Amino acid sequence: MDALHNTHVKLLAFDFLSLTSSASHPNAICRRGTILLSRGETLGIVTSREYKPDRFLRFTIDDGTGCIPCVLWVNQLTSPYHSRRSPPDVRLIAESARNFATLIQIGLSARVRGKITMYRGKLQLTVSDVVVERDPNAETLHWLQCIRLARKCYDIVPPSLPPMYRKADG
Amino acid sequence: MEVESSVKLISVSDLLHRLRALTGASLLSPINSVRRPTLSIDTPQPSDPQNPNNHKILKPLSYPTVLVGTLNLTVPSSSCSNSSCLTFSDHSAAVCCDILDIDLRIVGQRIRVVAWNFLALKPHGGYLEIIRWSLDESEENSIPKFNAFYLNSVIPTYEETIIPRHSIYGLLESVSPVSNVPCTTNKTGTRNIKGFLAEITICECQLCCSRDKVMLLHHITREQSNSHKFSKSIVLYFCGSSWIWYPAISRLVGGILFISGMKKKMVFLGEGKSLMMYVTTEKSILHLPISKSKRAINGRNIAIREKGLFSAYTGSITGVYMQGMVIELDQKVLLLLTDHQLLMPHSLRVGATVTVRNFHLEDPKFAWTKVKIFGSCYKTSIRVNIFSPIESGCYQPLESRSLLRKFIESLAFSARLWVLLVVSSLKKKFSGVLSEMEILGSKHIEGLVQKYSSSCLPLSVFRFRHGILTEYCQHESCGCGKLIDYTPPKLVVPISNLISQCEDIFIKRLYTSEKDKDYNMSPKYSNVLCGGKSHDQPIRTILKSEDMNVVLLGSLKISEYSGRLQLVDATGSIDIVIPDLPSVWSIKDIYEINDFSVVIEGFPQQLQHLQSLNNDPFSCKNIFNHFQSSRRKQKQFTIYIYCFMRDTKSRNHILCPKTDKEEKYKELENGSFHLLLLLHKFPLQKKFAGDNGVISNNLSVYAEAVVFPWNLVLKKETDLLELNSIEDYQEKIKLLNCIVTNMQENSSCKKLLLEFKSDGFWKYELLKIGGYYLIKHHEKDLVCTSKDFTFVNSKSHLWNVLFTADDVAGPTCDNLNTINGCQEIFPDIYINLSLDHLSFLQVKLKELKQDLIQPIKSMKEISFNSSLMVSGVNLPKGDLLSVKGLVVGVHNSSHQIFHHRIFHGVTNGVCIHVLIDHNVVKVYSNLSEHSYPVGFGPGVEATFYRVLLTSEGDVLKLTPASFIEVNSTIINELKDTSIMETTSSLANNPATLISEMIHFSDHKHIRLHCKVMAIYVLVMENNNELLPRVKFPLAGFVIDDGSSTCCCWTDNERVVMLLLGLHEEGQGQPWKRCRKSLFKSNKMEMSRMRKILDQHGSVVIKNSGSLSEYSCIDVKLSGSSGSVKESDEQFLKSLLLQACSINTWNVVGSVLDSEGVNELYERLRKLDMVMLPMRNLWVSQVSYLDTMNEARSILQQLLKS
Repeated sequence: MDALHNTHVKLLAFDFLSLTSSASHPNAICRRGTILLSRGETLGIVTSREYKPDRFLRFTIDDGTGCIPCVLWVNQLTSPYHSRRSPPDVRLIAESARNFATLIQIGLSARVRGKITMYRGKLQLTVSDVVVERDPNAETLHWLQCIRLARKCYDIVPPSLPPMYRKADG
Repeated sequence: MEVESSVKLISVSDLLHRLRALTGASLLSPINSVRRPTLSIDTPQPSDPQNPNNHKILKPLSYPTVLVGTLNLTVPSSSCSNSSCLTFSDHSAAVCCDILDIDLRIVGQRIRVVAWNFLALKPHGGYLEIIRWSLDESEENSIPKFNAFYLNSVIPTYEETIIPRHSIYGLLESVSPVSNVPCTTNKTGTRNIKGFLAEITICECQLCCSRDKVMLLHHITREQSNSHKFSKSIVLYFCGSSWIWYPAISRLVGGILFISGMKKKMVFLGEGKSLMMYVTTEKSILHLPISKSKRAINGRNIAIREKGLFSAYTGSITGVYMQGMVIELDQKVLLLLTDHQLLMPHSLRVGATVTVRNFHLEDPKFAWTKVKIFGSCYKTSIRVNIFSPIESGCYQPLESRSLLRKFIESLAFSARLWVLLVVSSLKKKFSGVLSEMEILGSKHIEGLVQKYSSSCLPLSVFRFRHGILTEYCQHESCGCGKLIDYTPPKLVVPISNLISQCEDIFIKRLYTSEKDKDYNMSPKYSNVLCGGKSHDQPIRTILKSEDMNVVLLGSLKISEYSGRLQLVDATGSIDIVIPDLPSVWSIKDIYEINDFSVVIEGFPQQLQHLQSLNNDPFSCKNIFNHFQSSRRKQKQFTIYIYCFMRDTKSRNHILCPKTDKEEKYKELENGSFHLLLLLHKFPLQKKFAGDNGVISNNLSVYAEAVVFPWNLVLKKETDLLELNSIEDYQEKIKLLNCIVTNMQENSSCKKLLLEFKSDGFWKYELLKIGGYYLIKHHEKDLVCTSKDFTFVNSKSHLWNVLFTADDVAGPTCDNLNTINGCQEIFPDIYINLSLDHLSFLQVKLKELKQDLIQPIKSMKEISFNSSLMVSGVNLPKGDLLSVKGLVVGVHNSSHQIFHHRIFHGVTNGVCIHVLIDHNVVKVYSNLSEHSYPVGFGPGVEATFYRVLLTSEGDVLKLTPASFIEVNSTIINELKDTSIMETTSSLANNPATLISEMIHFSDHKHIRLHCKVMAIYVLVMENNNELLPRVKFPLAGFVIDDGSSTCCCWTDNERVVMLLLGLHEEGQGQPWKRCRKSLFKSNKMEMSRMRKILDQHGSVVIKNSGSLSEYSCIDVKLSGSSGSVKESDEQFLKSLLLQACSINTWNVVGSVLDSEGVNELYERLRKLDMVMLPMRNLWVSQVSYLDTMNEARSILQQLLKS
């Protein structure tokens, strides 16, 4: 369970969208009530893009099984969240985020990593980095990796889990 | 009558004059067949799937013929001394003959032979096989006139009134060969009495035991005797003139015999033994049965009559080998007819159907092939049931009895077969090298076969032979056919058979592994990834001699085609690798190699169309016969033998008396010697050794050596000590005490180029770079006089030496190591030095060894000029260097930058992946095929001498002067697999998941497909004179693959640069350009990094352990000379940020064991850091992913599960 906590789990959109927030861990997300997740990775086509300069970029990634809403914050220079960091560090982060925002264009295939969060009761990916995939095989590989990881890793309930998680799975 | 009139009469002399095989059987119509039922015409031809066209059917005459003549028992003739032959004669001539189903009534009668085969018989005779016959009309009326023969003549008689005495009626079980018994008579001294024995089982019923012999005779001759039970065995002795009945009686084995007029006598057998038997007298009569029909034999035990003796086997002859000593029946049984007294009819030809009676069945338990032996003894007889319709040679047993023949006769059956196989093998292997006399010996001299065989066979297989009489009568007590439990010696195999067998096993394994894909032989089908492409790797099979149970005999030579060392015999040659080949080896010697490995390599794609043989190259048939595989000339395989000389039983004194080794050692007895240190060997150049061209005679190869200014002097009175047991090394190694003398006080070392002409290639082959060699000093020899060049002819000998000291413990030992080097050397001689000389040498040698480019063990040792990192241009830089490492992959390459700029005209090269100190280094080569040593390929440890470094840092380039030496060949398949696993199998299976790493043992090589999540620690150092300018003594990256996270560690600059996104812009990764706009170009980043390090010397970037979103920003930077400037800090942080957001990687590394973890722990402790609570991986290689292959292998895995 802990092993996956800081891991960017690769989930297909239909799987991602079925995640729930954990009752016991406020910031954690549950998959089928068993495992706690915090970060995710997806790969798909950018199907919508809504840019609020100096605030955020909202976009969706469609991987063929569903659409994952993503948000990329570009407000680092003004946000109080980053106020404790040194200004040069914040500038660095902001520059990086702006660069990512320019990469996201509708119709491109993008690999996105970030935190899995809840916004107004809906799941979304708060993006930390973006890579545009030009390799036509990358998407297929991503699907297969998602299936393999689900089978080999995410679907397996660790025996040490408390009964409540087991029940939910059953 | 019309038909009759068209039949031509043919005379025997006519047949003899034709001198060729003929048949007079095929045109006969049923009308012509008169009396005898026969099967011969309809005989199906024995199938021989291997050689369907090998046998010609006997040529028929175009018209029906008949032969008229008399059938006689043997009359001694000059052309044939075979006592089992019958004779057929007409007015013109007489020939040996055989007849199917002999009827005693025709003996001495004129017959018309209406169906026959005629075969030429050496030297001047012929052989008639009578298939059908009829009595000549003139004789027809005379038949009732006789019903018996007198045995001591061949006179027919009509015996009805005579009361037979001592009549014997029974089943003829066996007949012995004709023997000569020396008898003493008063008048004429000794004379030999010819005779033979027959064993008859008689009936003990009331009738047979009754005294009324007339009634018995009446009963028997009228066929009223079906109720007899033949159970009691008696022996008849046909001696004196009655032996002439041998051809007839021996053909009656298995039938009923009625003889009267015998006398009971006690016969002395020799060795104090005697036996009561029935002996023929002048009045002995052989009675004929009245009925001509075949009688059903009742009351006979058809199963084993005697212990170990089998009654009968009927089969067709499929092969006759070794001058008739081995007859193959039905392609599965080998009948051994090795006793010279056993004289079988000439009609034992390939294609004939025969019944063998009274033989010993034995399984020789040969490990290399499955075969059954029918061992023949003096009771064995063979009857031809159907003559062969094939034009195959007559059976002509060898009559001369050499020492070898006697030797073979004295062995147990399985050992006889083994010796016969040795005979056949050695004859094939050394034809043209040794004379037949040297191989087989003569009547008085032992040949090679006998010397070799007697040294291999245990005493238990030898048995004493007692002679025909004793062995026939006391069969069991003589130990005939006694099973001996022993392990048969190994098969001496001709090289052509060995090559075919190994290729066949290789192909069969390939097919088996292909069929059995679930089992997944992936290590062998593995590819190596290079430059974004996957390349095929050869698959390898290693066959051990102990699994094949064969031994190799052959001589060594340097191939004139490839310049490589080969093991040769007259049937073929095979490359051979002998790490400890002594320099005194001689091309005249025959070496016996008992313990060896055969390594076969090939690319699966090239082998797909190959079929496996349905012919076992190790089968007895293929050892006896000429065997040549059709596949041999095609070059689909690399095949070579790997062995050590110390494993070779030194049997040169047996196998080859010509050895001149002793003479060579004489050179060492006194005199002075030059001492040479070999600096380099130059490879054979491509332009000479073409694909089809033989190396021309004026071709030379070169080696570079340093001649020491002092000579070693050996004085005559110096004691020569022979050491016999230095590391079990069987060759003579001499320990020499010597004095080091200065030739000239002021002389310095001289560098020499040694030239070897084609006759001296084998000397070149023996040289090892870094080895010391002695060469005899002569007045004004070339070594003394020439300035920079000397020619090594075939006479001058180079002795490989190793220095030893009186006290070989403690510091002396270290000193020795510094002199000798630590590489594995198998010296010809040891030179013993006093401690003074040793320390003197050590100092001097240290200076001299500077010229020798020592192999480096880690790429970090390489020094460079600065300003090398010129992006995009991969020029060779720096000095020549030597590297040693494990070859993990070899593939064709078109590394264009190199080849077109440096070597014109070379378009295709080879890229060699070498694992040096956990890092994979690429070595590019465009050397000719022959420049790679035998056995070079993935899995071997090799040293690359005099290679050039390129500005890429871990890419090396072979030059035309570079030399590759294989240090350890892979001879163990287990090791092989593990090495394959390190590289290529990883590419074939899906990447391992980090969550699965728990299941892997330490050191296990794994491949992960992951992204960098955070940088935990990065130590950067300035490297003033070294390339790359920036060194990373330690780097720890936290990586993530979706299943878990782990920490991967490295100190490999290339790995760090790649993971930081600073290396090989766009190379091998066509989709990467998108990153370019995001960050500044790599070139600028590198120069900025260098500037920072120029200022600080070293910079340490530490992460406090947080894996938060911006953990790469939350790091602490510290320079060795104070804090880092803010702008520099921002630059470095931007690098880290870049590292965490770039693409996914293929990371290859090994799981760290506890020792590695402890070492890492210590290094982190010095940096005030701790280990992260996750698995640790030491990374050796990072590359872009082949997405399609990865996807395919995941899919395959998913479909299976």
